[in-house]
Amino acid sequence: MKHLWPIVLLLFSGVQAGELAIQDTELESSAEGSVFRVSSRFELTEPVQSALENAIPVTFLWQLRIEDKREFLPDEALWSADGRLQLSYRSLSRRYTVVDPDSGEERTFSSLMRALAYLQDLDLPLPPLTTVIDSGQDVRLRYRFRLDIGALPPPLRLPAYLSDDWRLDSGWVEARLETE
Amino acid sequence: MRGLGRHLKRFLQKILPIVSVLVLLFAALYLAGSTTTSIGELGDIYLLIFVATGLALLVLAMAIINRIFKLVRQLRTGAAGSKLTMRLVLVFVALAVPPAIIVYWFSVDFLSRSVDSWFDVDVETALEDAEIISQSFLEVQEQTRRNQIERQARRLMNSDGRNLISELTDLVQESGALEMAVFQRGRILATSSTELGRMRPDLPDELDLRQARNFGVHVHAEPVGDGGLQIRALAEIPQQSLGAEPRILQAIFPVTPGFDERAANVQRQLARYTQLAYLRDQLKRSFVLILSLVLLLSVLLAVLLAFDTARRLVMPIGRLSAATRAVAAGDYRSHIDDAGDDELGFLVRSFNAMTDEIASASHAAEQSRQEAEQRRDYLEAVLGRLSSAVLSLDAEGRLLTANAATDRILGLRTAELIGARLAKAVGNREDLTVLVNLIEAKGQAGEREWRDELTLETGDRQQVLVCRGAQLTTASNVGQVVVIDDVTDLVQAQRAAAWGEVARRLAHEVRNPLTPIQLAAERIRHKYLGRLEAEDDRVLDKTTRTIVAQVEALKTMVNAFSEYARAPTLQLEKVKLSDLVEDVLELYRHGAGALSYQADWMDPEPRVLVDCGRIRQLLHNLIKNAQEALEDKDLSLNLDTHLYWRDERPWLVFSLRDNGPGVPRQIIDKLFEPYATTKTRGTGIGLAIVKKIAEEHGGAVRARNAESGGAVIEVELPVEPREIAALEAPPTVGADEKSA
Repeated sequence: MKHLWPIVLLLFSGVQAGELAIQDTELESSAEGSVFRVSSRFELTEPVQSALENAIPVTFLWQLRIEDKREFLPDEALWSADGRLQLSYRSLSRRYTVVDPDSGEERTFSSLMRALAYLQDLDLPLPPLTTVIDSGQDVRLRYRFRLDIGALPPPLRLPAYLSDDWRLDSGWVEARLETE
Repeated sequence: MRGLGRHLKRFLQKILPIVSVLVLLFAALYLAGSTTTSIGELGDIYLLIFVATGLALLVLAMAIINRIFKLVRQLRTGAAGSKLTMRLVLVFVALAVPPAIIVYWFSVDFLSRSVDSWFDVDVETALEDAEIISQSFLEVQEQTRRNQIERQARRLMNSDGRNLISELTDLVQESGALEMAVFQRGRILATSSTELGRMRPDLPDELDLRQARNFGVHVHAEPVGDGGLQIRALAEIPQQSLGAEPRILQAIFPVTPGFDERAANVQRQLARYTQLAYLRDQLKRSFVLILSLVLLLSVLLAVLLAFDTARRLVMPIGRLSAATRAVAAGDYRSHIDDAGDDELGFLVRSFNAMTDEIASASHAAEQSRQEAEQRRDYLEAVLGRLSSAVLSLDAEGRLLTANAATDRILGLRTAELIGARLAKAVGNREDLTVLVNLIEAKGQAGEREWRDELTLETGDRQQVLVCRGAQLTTASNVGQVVVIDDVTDLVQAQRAAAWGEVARRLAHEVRNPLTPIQLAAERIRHKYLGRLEAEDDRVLDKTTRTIVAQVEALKTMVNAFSEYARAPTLQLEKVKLSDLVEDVLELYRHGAGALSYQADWMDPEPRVLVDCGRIRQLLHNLIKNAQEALEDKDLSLNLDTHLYWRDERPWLVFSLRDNGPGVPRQIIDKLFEPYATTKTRGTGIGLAIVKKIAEEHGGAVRARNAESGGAVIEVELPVEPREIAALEAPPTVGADEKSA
């Protein structure tokens, strides 16, 4: 069986908005599956921190795509996954929690900085790449991480949409995958 | 299909936009209603609704501006119904907008007060106190677990390997912990849990491990699930020997049963209250924003509907106004589309029925007018062709109409005299005074019908007219219509016929006894002359000579009458009249009766179809008549021929002017009648025969006195049109050869 060695050749950001920037990515591939390690850096603005401390949960949304780059045609999505991580503050225990609403997995942190550190370094699972990519395909991996304004309480959404303070969005970043 | 297309177009243009705006309106209202909920059902399309609402506002505003511009343009151009539309729009807007603004103002105020009323200082304080109490209780719990984990860590100081697992299991059962685990350099050495099958412990945070290593023990409460709590305790296990890798014991304890649920409830309510307090201003702003959008949508929609409603209401009135103008301008085909079953619809139907009736009446009137015009044209054509003059006059004697024959008979140009009084119109035509006086007198007398005959002295000739009049009654006045017949030619023809009859009787009755008389006289003379006494013999000679001479004279006269009465059969041939004239004049060129003449013949001259013998007779009579008129003077003639057109056909006129004294005025009209002469010589019937010969050829003869002196006799003979065409055509080779 021919081995497939995905190599991240280039990483660049399409749009860099607010204070959220993707700093590093790494792909670990094995026969059982792959892990996409993404390292981002961002700081919550004062209004976001204020909302968090006033029991407003803040949801982050990550989106991962593997797409076949095609000439003169829209790119074909070979695989895609989305996930949410909800950050909130519990005043009784004075701790920050990060919950994955889909899996129910919950992590608590003694400080906001610790919670953000957890959100900034994510290991995202990928399927075995040999099941997704054919040899010789020009494939790109696209990733986006952003604050989900749509998950905010309704009264806060419109100001959030209209304010730069709430615009935490990495934009789509692309990594080209090559087979060996 | 066309009907379906029309319905679809109407749906897309009129109904869909309004339905869309209404949907947006209700969506915005729903948003206003769900603003307080944490996650509304429209959460995902929250922004989309705002954007769509904004776009709808923009579209509505543009539609209204467009209608305002249209209305202003219509007002400037004075379009039908524009002023009424403006008034209706203003009324509708005045009715719709103020209530909406009042409701908006009260709603905003009410909602603002309602939001403020949600927050109570006592409730907030109570919740904060509850939180502090809960935190205090948790701190007590933490302290208890802290002491407990320290003891348990010391108990495990000498445990390792399999021993460690059994110790942990005992500790879990003894302490009531949910699970316990021992870590060394990030590895799990042993773990025990109350949850069956749980192999992997709940891993601590790196910071917790570090604090446990640094301070020996670290305990904290942490949230779990939806508002639940647990206590995580970590303690370093004392080392048996120096330099050994430290081991960390972690225990997860539940909080006191009963406190857990209450604490979770406090946590939820506090979070909700804190959220609401934080969102209070945002809530108010959202309410105001959404209500403002609703107000704007409502107001703009109301204004737009006001325009459309006003337009729909005014449209039939505008059409009625436009159609009324069209009817006033004479366009009776104006029809207005049905405007429904209301009063306006009834008005429109009534208007349509009225225009139909007017159109029908107008059509009938037009037909009647055309018929009258046709009748008038027919009458004019008939009158134009009449040989009688027909003229109509109003009560004041003003000329209303006159036909072409009037101009010809009276020598007037009546087209220039229409509307003028007849007496004034004829001006200085003294010859017409008799006629005008007659007509006016009859008109003033008010005779319903009258007839009279009169003779006009016009220049050198007399004109015999027969006038008939009748009262002409119109709606406004009473005039008269006068018919005038020129019977001059008829009278002359009657005279000629009478003379013809006389001539025929003379020729018949007188000719027979003349020869016996002559023979008897000659016999008496022959028998007795020379046998009587000298005196008697002289008397006999003289009387018999006289008898014979007079009988000869009578024979000559009878022959002339016979010639006049004769109706010969013409031997017609085409000749050049000038050639015939030259031939006859050749006979008079020499001898006692010599004459001189100057001729101006037409060149080229069309040929005429004549009996040459009869025309020679005509010429002889004319020359003889001229010679007799001159008595002892030498005759000098001026001759010419020329062409002229009458009644759309060509006539050749032969004109002969002598150097005599001219024709006395009193006989000029009767010159061509027998014995109409002042001469001492001649039979008195020569010119009558001239006239007869001319008429035999379809022509005529006229006499007048020349201004330079002398009498002019004109003989006109018809020319065939093709003779004229032959003259105008370019000469052919054959014609040249014949001429040569």
